[in-house]
Amino acid sequence: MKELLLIIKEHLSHFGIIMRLARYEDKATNQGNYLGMAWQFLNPAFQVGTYYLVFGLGLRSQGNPEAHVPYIVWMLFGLSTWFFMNGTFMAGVSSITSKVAMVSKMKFPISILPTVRYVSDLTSFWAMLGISIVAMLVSGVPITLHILQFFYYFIAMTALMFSFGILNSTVNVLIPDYKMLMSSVMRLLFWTSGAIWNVDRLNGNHMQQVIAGIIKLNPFYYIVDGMRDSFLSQAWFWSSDRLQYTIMFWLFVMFIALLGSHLHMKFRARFIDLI
Amino acid sequence: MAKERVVKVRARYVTKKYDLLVKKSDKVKAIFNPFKTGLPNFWSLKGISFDVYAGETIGLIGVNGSGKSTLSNIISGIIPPTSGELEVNGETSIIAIGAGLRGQLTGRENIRLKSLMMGMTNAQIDQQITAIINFADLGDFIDQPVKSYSSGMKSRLGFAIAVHDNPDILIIDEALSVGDETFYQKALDKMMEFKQAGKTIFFVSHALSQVEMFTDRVMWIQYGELKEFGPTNEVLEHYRTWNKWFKKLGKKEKREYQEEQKQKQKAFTVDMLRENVLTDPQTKYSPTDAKVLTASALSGEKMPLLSKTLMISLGIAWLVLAYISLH
Repeated sequence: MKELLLIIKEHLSHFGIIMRLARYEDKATNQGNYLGMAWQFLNPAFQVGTYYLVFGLGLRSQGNPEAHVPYIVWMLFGLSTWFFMNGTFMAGVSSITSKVAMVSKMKFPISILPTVRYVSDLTSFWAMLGISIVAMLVSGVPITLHILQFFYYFIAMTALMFSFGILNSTVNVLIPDYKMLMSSVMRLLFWTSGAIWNVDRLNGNHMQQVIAGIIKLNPFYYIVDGMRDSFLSQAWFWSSDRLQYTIMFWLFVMFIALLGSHLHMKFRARFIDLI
Repeated sequence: MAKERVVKVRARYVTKKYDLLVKKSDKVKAIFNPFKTGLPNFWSLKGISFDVYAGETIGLIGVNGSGKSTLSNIISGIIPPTSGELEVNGETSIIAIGAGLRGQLTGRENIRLKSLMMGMTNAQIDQQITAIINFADLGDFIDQPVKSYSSGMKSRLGFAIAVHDNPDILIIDEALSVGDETFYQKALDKMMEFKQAGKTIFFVSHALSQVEMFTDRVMWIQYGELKEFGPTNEVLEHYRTWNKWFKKLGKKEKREYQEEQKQKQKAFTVDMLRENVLTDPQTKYSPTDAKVLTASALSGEKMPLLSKTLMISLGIAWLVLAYISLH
């Protein structure tokens, strides 16, 4: 508990550094390309296009989740959230390992490194979210009070990414194979987080219902589904069929945050020796 | 010498032990049980004690692999000591060759990134960047990627960034040995300026003439031990005598001598360290003090019981809810 508070305090007192480094990171990664920052959203846009071609036009039966929402809009909200979480998650895994040479010869609060990646990735998230909202308005989906939930789900997503960032970046220093493992896990999670197909359609036999139930336990699904709830006005996060998942999500986040901060503090002094 | 005797760096029996890893899996073993690995050890520092005061310039000399760089890294807070007490009063900044520069970024971008990481705002950096660029004196190369720099240029850039960070304690790890005469003079002037301002400087070098000219006191570190610490002239004289003696030895004798010293560093144990602490003639440590002093500074902290219970109950609550929601 103390360790977690310590890390949060470190974040607050270095808030300025986090923001400035994130902005710099953005510039530095895209500076070699002619199109520069445009790739931040061109890249996900091409991916969205691909998935729309395959699932929206090709395998039509997979889509069509709500009568009044076109599949492309429904998919856009899920995919933009998923792409952001996936990118931040994987960047977080290697955030300490990749910076250690730089940080090793100076005093620097190492715990903020995964958060720097989170903030830097937010740029493309806003761009993608903007596109999704435009698509939503164009196709005539109404905006309701549910949109206020976005702030809640954004905080929830930040908490999840922060906790995973601390844990993953630390474990990756200790065990080099961790990055490979995580990229495989994330590939599986992509198909089981409801980003491009509607999990609720799994309601045929008992077996399918159990699988759908398991998928809904996954915290990434909670966020992806929650973002859709906010923009496509489906439900409130405290409504009877969402409440248990809300509680479970926060239990999970707390667990990861406590474990991550403990490991981080325990091994932080020896990161240099370990790499 | 220092006007007022303010202790800047105080070390008591500082040690650094490395595990000599044999297989890759040993690393994982060392992570989970860091203090009972059963792996062969190497004591890079075998218990070093000293006081350094404000305004002093200290030279660190010794043959290759004697532990100079380990000690300077420990003082700067980059690596933690294995055991012992270390008190550093003030901000430290270390300059080593090519330290912490990113090869793909240009010199100018490296200055900006490093300054950002040191916690400066963009406005502060804009104010300072011209001074840093002028000091590094790299000409057009300042806008070229650092990977195309020579080692002299890299160390000039590193030196320029570090001195403009305005540290209380500056540690220079052989970074000047690659610079040319002009830059050396410039760096020397800057260091004199620091000295006048009452800052403490550690100067690691093999160039004895530089050490002689510049330092007040010298630490001679020999195979992990502080062999001598005193006024520059005295220590340098002894060091030169030793070097002459060593050079005269035959090839075989030289190797045997080095092997023997390295063997001693491998065979060193905590008990021997404790024995050294207890028999220290200057300070009288009680056996309990000695035990505390030689205990590992890195004892992997156990999770407090409260956090542990909290985590377990969080886990159980999650499982229960998961069970309910699946049925």
